[in-house]
Amino acid sequence: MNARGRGHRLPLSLVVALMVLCGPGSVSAQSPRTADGHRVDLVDSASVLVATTLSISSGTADDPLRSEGLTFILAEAHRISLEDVPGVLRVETHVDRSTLTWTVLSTPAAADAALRSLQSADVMLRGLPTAIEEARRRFVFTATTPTAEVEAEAAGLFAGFGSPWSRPLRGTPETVSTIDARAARDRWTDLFEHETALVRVAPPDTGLDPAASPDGIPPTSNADTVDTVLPSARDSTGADADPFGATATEFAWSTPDRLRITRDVTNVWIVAGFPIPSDLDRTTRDHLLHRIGEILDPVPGDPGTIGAGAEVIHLPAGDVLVVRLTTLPFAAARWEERIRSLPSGITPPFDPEFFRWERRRFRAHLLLQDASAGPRSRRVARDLLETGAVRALEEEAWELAPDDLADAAGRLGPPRILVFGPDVDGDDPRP
Amino acid sequence: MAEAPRTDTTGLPGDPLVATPVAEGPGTPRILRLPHGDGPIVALRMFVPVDETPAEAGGGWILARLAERRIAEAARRLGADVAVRRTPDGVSYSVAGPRTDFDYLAYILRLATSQPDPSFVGDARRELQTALDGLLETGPGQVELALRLRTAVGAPIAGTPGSVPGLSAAAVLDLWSRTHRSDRMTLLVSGSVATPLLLASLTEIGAADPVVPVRPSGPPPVQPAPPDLQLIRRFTGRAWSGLRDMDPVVAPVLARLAAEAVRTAPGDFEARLLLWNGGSGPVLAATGVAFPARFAELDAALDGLLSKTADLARGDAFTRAVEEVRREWLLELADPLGRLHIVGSAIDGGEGFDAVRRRLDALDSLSPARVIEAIEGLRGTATRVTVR
Repeated sequence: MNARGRGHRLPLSLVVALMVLCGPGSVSAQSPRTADGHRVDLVDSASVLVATTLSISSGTADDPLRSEGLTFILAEAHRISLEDVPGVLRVETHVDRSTLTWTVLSTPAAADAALRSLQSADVMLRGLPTAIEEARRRFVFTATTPTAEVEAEAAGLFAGFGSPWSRPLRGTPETVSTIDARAARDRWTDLFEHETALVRVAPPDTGLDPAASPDGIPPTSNADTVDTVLPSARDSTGADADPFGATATEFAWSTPDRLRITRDVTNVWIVAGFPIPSDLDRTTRDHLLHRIGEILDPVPGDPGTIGAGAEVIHLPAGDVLVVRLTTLPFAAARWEERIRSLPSGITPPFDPEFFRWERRRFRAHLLLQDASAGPRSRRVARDLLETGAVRALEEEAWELAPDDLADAAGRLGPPRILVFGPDVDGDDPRP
Repeated sequence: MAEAPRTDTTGLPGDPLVATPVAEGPGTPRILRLPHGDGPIVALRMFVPVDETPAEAGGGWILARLAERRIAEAARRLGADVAVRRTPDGVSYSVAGPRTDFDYLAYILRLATSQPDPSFVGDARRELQTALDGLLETGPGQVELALRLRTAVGAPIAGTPGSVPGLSAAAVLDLWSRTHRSDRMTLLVSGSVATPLLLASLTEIGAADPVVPVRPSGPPPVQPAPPDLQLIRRFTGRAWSGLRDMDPVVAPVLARLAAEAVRTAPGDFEARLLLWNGGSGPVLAATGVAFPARFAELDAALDGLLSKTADLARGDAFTRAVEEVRREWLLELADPLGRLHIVGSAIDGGEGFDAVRRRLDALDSLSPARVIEAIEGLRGTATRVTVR
């Protein structure tokens, strides 16, 4: 086991000290945090299983040069091995350029074994040969699909071509061929040099760590909460600090851009990035994401749309709201314009009733997502890594005001848009 | 004078798999509560028993389909999770969302159980008819349908080729009016909602007409002969219905072992394993397809399925099968509506308020000998169907 993976414990005296700082009526909870990272246990008396999430603020952008794909393979190797631990029901992984997350669902009896295994390099190494073999096989099947190229071009457009952030998430056949046990172990050690969050959501009486679940930490998202200052997550003025060091007034970029790549394929991929002001609070940001999701995926569906979605990504220079849409070529120009005008299209509601229903939908979306142990542990870990605090979702959703959404949309930075696919409208500037 | 409903507003923390009755009285649904913790979500499941006559088979399916369409827009407006299921025992209507929206969630539930619009019955009947026609037009479909009809106890919930054409709007509305009576319903609740509020939200739910339609009598509908098919390959199947009196944990474990037996059977054919509820318990079936020259291999594999399954039960496959069943159950129980559905279904079937907890405990103590005993009990009970 890696030494830094051990002992995510906070002395009880320090927990008590943190609780003394609690202010009544607070809406967010700082986690106990040691030098090794955030550690929170939550009790869920309606749960029949235990969800354990380990989230690390390091992703594929930290792969060593010429070993691209290492983080992805390491994540898969660990998933494969963890699924063999007796009592483990399912393991979910999420890997992107800036974050790596495993969530293990297990029986209560297997919770401690799952927790130990989750932090063990040896367990990860057991799955490495299978993960490498699967990665190689995958390259054969994806060699002719354009999605990897779309992803690489979009990453370059957003973070700069040639930057570590724009390297291929899953690497290439050549870089994957260099990966071995030593490289995986070194990367494992490197992972724990970054900020980590270890969260468990479990039924009562399943041996949760009392140091990690003091009375003040919310057993669910809306319970009594504590609010303490976590120096590493706040700057000297007490304002929320951007995890990548950007100030509140900075954006990931300040100039718009458009990249048109013409390929003779059947669909058009549109990927658009809007920089998010770093002082935008997370729940308003999630609300905006939800609203854009509704616009992209209307009921009844838009003819010609094959798939659509929106997410927030974390660039070194700041967060970016990314919209992805796949469409048939005839609808591409219309969708590009629609996506480009999203910020101005989200206006303050003319009818207060419309806002109330929209907010209710968002609240239902937030709370229903949070109602199962797995998604909740993942969400809490994400909260901790992004802000050092656990959100009280219900209260935060209630606090949203009618103009918040339009204000947030209006503050998005200039978009960078990639359009990839056949050029039926003749807008490729190349001769 | 009507007796006042018994109420209990406490939601004592306890086993999340054991329901507790909190209210029951004339003219109101029985209310059961599941421990819910202190989460901000409320989930409701209303169960209505549906007892179709053979001529009404498929009517409950149509009621469920119409309810699903009726509540879709209302659920989307709030972002609530909803599910309508036709189970072997009746129809269940489920909804989950923030507890602060309880009034609206209760409205969705009332809408779901309300009288269907007769003008939409024809559309739903055509949908069911199309599904049945799709089965009859293929070899595997004919085998599966024949096995289901021949092993069914009572009216098959997905209807029969003989019953579906007769499901008029009047017949479906009669079925709704006869079954959707508030005092026949059971509400299972998970969430912090006081019982008086629950009772208040359930007033005027279901059929209000005091005259209950008479359950239609008469001979069962005549089943038309399946169409002749121009087939190159041959199709066959076996169904064993002797599991219905056995411990409910035996059937899913046995089915996984049998599935492995089918998957690893030598021979040049395709086969698959099915497990369904035939009306009063599980039915295990295996169906397959082979070219005529290889048909004997398929026939032999299906005939030897029970022996091979018993062999697997004596080895490591038994532990794997138990783990798979446990994984499937626990993962479904992790979802709020999934927990309501599993616990509620067991209660609908008369297994008791703590049936799911007992099932999990029984799974822990299940032995290979118990499964082998169940396999032995199935010998000689197979229903066979072949289409060539």
